[in-house]
Amino acid sequence: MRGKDTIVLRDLTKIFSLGLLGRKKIIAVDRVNLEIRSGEILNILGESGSGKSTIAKMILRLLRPTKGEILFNNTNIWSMTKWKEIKEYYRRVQGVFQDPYSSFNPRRRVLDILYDTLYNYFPEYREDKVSAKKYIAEALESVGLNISDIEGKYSHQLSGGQLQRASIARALLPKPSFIVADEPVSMVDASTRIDILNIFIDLKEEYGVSPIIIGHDYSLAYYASDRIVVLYKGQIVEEGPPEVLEDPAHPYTRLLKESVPLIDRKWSKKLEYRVGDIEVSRRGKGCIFADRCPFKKPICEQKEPPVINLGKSKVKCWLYASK
Amino acid sequence: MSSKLESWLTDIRTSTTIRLLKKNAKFWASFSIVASIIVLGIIGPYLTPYGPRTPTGTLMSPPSMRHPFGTDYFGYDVFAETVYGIRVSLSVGVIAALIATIIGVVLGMIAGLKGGLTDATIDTVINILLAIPPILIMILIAVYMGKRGIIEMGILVGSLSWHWTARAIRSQVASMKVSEYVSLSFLSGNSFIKVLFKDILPNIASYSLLAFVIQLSNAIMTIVTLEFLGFGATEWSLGAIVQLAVLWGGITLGIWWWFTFPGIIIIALITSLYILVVSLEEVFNPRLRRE
Repeated sequence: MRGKDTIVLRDLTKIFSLGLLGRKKIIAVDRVNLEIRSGEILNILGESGSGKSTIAKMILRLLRPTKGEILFNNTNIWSMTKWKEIKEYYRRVQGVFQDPYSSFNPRRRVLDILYDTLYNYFPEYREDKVSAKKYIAEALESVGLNISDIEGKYSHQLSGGQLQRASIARALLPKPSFIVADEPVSMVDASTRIDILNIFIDLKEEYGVSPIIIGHDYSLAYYASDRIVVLYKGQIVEEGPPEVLEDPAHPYTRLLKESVPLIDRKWSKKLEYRVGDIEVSRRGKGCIFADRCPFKKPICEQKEPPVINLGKSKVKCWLYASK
Repeated sequence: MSSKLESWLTDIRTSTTIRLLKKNAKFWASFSIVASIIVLGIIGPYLTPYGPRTPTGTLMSPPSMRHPFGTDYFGYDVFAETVYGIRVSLSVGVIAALIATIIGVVLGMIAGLKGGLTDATIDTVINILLAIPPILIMILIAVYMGKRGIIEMGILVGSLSWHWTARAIRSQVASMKVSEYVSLSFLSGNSFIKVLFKDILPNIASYSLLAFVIQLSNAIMTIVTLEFLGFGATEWSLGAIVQLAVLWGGITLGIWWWFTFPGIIIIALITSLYILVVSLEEVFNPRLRRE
């Protein structure tokens, strides 16, 4: 079964209603089309407010899309209504969140939560405590933790790095095909970041789990990915293998690359970094990046750019449209 | 089984909450005042030969060995009046606080978990209760009540003072519902019922206990106010003593013991319950914990 699972996002859109009677509408995710196959590390890269966490929550069926659908092996995940079906979905698609401290119920022991997960997905282990402990110990070892490190401890007694590893181990227990990791390294120590990313790389290679890593760090995305999707204000602007980050096509990706601080280069503030929500009413007809783009052409503000296939990568920009 | 019980008891004895509670001076001070007033209400009637309405024959006698709180204008023993009054006022308060906490926790949880229209409806009711002083509604209803017994008054006060608890629980549950660990609990294969019992209820349990104590303090304040205004339970109560003392000129006659003793007990009870909440919060809330 594993190796064949796919998640397809089709015209996925999420609009949040704010204010009195929901009159203010904000587009968080805007017609995202994406096919995620198992067997690759997908990296969704975007700045704050680009809708990347919203996509993660929608894939994990925690948030209902406004329009569009998410197909798991050709079944719309929101057509599942029985808990049994949803649980089967969660058996294949697991999640890891940004904040390791709030990922565990503060009133329950971390190990109890792991046992809980195991028993829910593999009830046969309930009878066999020795194998259950072995199973969990192996899962913990694969993320670099020893079962004795967390035995009997609550989340506030463990470090952020340990908790994030335990959180990944929890996600591994049902033997999923996909793990959606929403900024898994942004709240752990810089020294632990690469270790955690290495875990994801190992998971893919040794266990066949396909991580979907969501992040904002340009170099970390380059480090651990087979395919990168660059998100800007809820739209995919560029998509391709990690090499696109070496020589980006879309002006936004270029801007991202230039804003990576390097030790051997003097920092020059060339482009102003501006982030804002976009309301439905205020959104223009043209390219979403037009107001910040240094290469803006008249057409950019009038018509939405098409998705152009550049061979290796796909880019949503007028600059590459054949005249 | 017994070893499980033992380990559970050891867990309680060694838990941080209990250990911190033992060290908290505010807790001990307020808890002992509340406890002694409750004990006074329970054993008081056995310490005095008089009932609240037994004529003693001596009018306006100052506190003495025979009449520890003195006698009033009509010759009734103030100590007897007070201890019987504690029973009534406390009983009404406990019933009201229980009802208010149960309604508040249940409605708050429904609003927080369901969201949407249900949430908006409950929130509107809460806002109405916040805007109109509930004591006015209580007086209006009390006037038309056929029987004003302890239980009836408890229901009246409790059913109109749940809104604070509901609002607090609602916001707790609503933020818990979208928290990472609840989302991950679903991903761990726990159904909604399991998440409710494993993750949501344990986290609002201590909060509900605090809500009950503060509701008790408020309910006693409310019921004593109603009694003072003459709309309380038809049985003998703390507020009723103060009402009579004021109506019959206890102050101008100089019989201070008539209203001072019941008054001190009312104030001590309400204040200590409030301090009890503060001390419990210091212990339960990890952010306020001082080790």
